[in-house]
Amino acid sequence: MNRLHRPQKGPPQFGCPVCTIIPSYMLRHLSQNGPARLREHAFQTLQHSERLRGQRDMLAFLGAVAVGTPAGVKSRTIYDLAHGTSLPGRLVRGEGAPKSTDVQVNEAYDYSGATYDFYSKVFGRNSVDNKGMRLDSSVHYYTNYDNAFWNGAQMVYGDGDGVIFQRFTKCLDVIGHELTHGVTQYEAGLAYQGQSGALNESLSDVFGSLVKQWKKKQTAARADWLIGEGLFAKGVNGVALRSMKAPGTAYDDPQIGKDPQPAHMKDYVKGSADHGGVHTNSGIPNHAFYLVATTLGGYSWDRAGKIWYDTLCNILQPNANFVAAANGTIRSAGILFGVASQEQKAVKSAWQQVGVLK
Amino acid sequence: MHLKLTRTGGFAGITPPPVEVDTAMLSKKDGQYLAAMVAGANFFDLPKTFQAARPQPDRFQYSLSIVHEDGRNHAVLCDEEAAPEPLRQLLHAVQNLRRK
Repeated sequence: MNRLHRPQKGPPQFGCPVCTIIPSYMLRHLSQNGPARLREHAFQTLQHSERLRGQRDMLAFLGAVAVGTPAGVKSRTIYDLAHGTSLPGRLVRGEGAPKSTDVQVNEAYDYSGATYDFYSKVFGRNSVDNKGMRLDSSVHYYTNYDNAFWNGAQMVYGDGDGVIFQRFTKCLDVIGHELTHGVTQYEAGLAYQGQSGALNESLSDVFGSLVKQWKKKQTAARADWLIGEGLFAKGVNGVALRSMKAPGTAYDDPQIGKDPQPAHMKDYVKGSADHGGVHTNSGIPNHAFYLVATTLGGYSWDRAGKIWYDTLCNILQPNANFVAAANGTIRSAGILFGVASQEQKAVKSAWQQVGVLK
Repeated sequence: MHLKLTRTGGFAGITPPPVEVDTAMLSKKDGQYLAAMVAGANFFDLPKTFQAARPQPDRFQYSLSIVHEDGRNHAVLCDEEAAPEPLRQLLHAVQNLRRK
């Protein structure tokens, strides 16, 4: 299939040049050839400034140490923010290093590894940027922080407040969700607002769920189709943050309200909060994916996931809306499995069932 | 001062009930701490919005309104990743009052 021309996506662009006193070439030399005690420090300094510049190419020379690792080879770095917010924090575990005594460090390490393995083995993708980019995670962000996010270059995780939420590294699908924001950034670049933002969110839930299903070797029929199952603290009346199988049913608790997700366009939530409800209206494309996967049966990543991945990488534009995603996935299914195939029919029917197509 | 903080967005997409604070009801220590954070953030002179040029996925958005007993009244809407550091510390301080 011809790839539609799209401008190169990537890390956020910064408006002003980053000027450092020690030139990059000197740091680069030090990180490779300097005295042993200085190499790591030079590397860290170089990585930090080049990250600010968004210049991943400069780091590529470090080969397996930083970015640009060969296909199938993981490169993970875990940092501890110690309840501060200055990213990335203190390096606590590198690739191949032994387990930490900190469970969050190990979860961030293991689950980002599982996500890498999923994308590599199922889709042949070499990390978030498909060029072997190192996977950086920072844990213990701020205090009582009820969140995890992708900042354009790395993952960041809070501890949760212990009353509503537990630690955000606890769930494999949460980590898969965050890393998939990176994949989307490097592929379709879906704008994070309105329907394109809801698609962005949905893709993160879809592939987050697929990582979990793949790790557990679950078929579509056996999967729970829940996002963030086990994240709530004890006493919260809810099974998960979201349900792809039954949007709107994941929780109902006086402290946090009721799951607001729609399963159909007739219940699309308007209004400006949450960038136009990106975490709410994602229920509609989530449910469409669930319908395709369960209609086709077997492992969800084999056909439904393949169609969605192909659409993400080769069809969607940054401003895609739900109709564009529907038409894109139908087109992709036709190309991958044949026009009027069972797969293409399932995709079309799913989007009709959620009210995106007539 | 009367403060009202609303948080939306985030990975969970859950909006907790707003935090509403009347500094007259706080302990002297907490009241002074909050007043210092408000002054440190230069709150009443801040722009009305802080919008990230490229929003980071799963970040929070905050809406903070403050009515001062001297008559000043201001509201700021901000993306978490776009908030200047003193404002971010103020938001965090107000949020922590929920736990008290």
